Amino acid sequence: MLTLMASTRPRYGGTLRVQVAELPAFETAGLVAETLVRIDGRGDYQPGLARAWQRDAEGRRWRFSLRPRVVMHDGTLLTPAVAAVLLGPSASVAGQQVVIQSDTPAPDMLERVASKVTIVRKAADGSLTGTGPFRLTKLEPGRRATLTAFEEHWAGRPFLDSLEFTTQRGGPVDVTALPVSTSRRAIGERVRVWTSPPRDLAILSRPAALRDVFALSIDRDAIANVITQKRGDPARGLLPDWLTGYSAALPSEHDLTRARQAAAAAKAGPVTIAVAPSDPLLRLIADRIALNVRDAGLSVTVGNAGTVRLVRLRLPSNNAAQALAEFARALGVAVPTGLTNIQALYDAERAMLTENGIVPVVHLPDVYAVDPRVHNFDPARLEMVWVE
Amino acid sequence: MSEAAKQLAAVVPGRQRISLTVENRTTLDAGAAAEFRRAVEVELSAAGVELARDAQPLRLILSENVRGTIAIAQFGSKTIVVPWNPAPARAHSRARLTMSPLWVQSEPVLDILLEGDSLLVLGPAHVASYKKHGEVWQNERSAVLNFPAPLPRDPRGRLTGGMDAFRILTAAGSCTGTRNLALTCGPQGEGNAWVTGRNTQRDAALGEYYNLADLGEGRLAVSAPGAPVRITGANTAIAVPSAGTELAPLRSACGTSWLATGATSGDTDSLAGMNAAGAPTTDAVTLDGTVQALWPAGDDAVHAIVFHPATQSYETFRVTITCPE
Repeated sequence: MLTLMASTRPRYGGTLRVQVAELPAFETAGLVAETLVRIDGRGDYQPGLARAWQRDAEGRRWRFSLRPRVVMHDGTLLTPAVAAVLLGPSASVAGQQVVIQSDTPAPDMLERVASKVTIVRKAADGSLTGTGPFRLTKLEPGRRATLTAFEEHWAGRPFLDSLEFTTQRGGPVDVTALPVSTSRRAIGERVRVWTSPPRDLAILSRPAALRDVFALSIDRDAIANVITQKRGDPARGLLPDWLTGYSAALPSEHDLTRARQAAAAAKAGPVTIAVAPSDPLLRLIADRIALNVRDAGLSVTVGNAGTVRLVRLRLPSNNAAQALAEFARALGVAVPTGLTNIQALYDAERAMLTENGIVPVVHLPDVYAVDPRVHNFDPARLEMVWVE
Repeated sequence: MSEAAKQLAAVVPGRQRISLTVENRTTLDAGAAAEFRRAVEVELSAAGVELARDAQPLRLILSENVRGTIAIAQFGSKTIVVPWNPAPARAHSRARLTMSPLWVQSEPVLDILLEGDSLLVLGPAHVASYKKHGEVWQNERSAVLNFPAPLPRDPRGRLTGGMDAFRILTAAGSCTGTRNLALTCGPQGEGNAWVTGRNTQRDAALGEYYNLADLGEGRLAVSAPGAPVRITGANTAIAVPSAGTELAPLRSACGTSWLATGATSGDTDSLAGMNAAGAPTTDAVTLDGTVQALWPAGDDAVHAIVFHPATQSYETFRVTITCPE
């Protein structure tokens, strides 16, 4: 039964209880500590703690103008001097600006400050002092964390009074991180399921000479439909289709006849697909891949160590060019440059796939079970969530 | 569009015969896909390429990513990918509520003040004035709002008064201003009912509320945190669960006293006129976005500020009631 609710303004107050497999890294997660620049959903750079920036012609010297009247959790005003100390030895003050100097040209400086560098002070006891919408007020490492609203946040206090994260099962929770393979029946009808656009990629690295056998025999549609309960997308490329739009134009390779021919030509011995034991979903996918590749005539097992590795890579950025470059670094292949338009991006991604023997398998979303009393849920923007 | 179509058509080298397949993998309608096909066919024809059923296929794909629409042409081993700008879709609204578009911009709008050929637009960080020259609004001035406190995360604000002497009321502070946008801003002060740091207002009798509409004869429609809209006064208090937190008084000769947001589905809201008993008196108008604010604009009109997620724009409408004949 579909129930339509009249639209309502958000309410201030309340606590959101979130169950996760592991606690977020609060120094970098954006709740407690923030960055000078942030990347929006389109991959564009937007003001964060800096409201403007300039660079020199070579991209070695970057100047950031800080947002005024930003206060840290301990009441310290975030001045250029304070920010420079927290940003580290490459940062200094020039007038009213923070300067970050690089020894080599750094055209990707904005990506670095948006994704890797937060402004936060970590004390010897592990406590964090940042500028984020929440303060970390209690931490049991690996088990539980409590964050409370920061009333003086520069963008206004969050709607929630507090956030509670737990890795323990059994207590009351409002939001639960779920494995992608969880069936709808197991979740229950009353609970909403929130699914992100695909952000993880399951990928076979280094099948090398056997690349064609694997690429042609894997039934990606079955993996996406059955193992990920239709939440995942069969991967033709490294980047998800919501980011590029051109996945349909990349080669679709499932062809068992050609796979058998390639396997016969390879004359390979038994192969083991290595998969991390801590990732049950990857194990399920690896088992399915092994079945497919055996159909092509290759002897395949799945284990903790092997010449072929099935790994999970997290999409590192909403900026497609930066994401492709980071994937290249993670996979140990040549990093593409000059990706200034969509044609260049397509050509580079296609070349990476055909020249490096890597086989993308399936794109995976994040999945959460969300109680109906929770509104505006987005794990990347918990400061905008409110509860009834 | 034709430049992009020309680039796509260039995937076919020289004059030859091809067959054509077109895939629409976007949320655009069939008309947009047909327009895409026509644009490329025109360029192919100009390049001397003939279409034939049994020839080598040229595959055209209309797709979309997080930044917008793209178009792809594949012929043999060659692939061309270009951004594609479809013609803008026409907005649609139909009802006995009459919605006249007044203003649209990409930055958030909190309120507007319209006086003859002068317009004042209030956003979270600026106020801007415009003058109409012929059919065109031209920006005259802009002024930054220097409040002593930050606006809350769900920013709201009101413009009161007239172009020559107006007041800006928000939860971060108040400003007074004149036509040349000389502003004097400071703490909230008298007459500013916004609760500091929140998206609610406060009244001594009502407590904390989101919006209220005076329905006459001592009755008020009030939306408050955590509660359905209530009609209070005249010794009664009734709940109106079908109404959302956005509401404004709207008089008409045919029994409508107020306007409210209604049942929603995903990223769209609806508007409906209600009578003093909380019953709908008009068909609901489904919008192409979500209502950010409903503010009275005189007795017989309401300014509705709507956010359109498809275009990421804020549009203000003047809403009136057209009574049946």
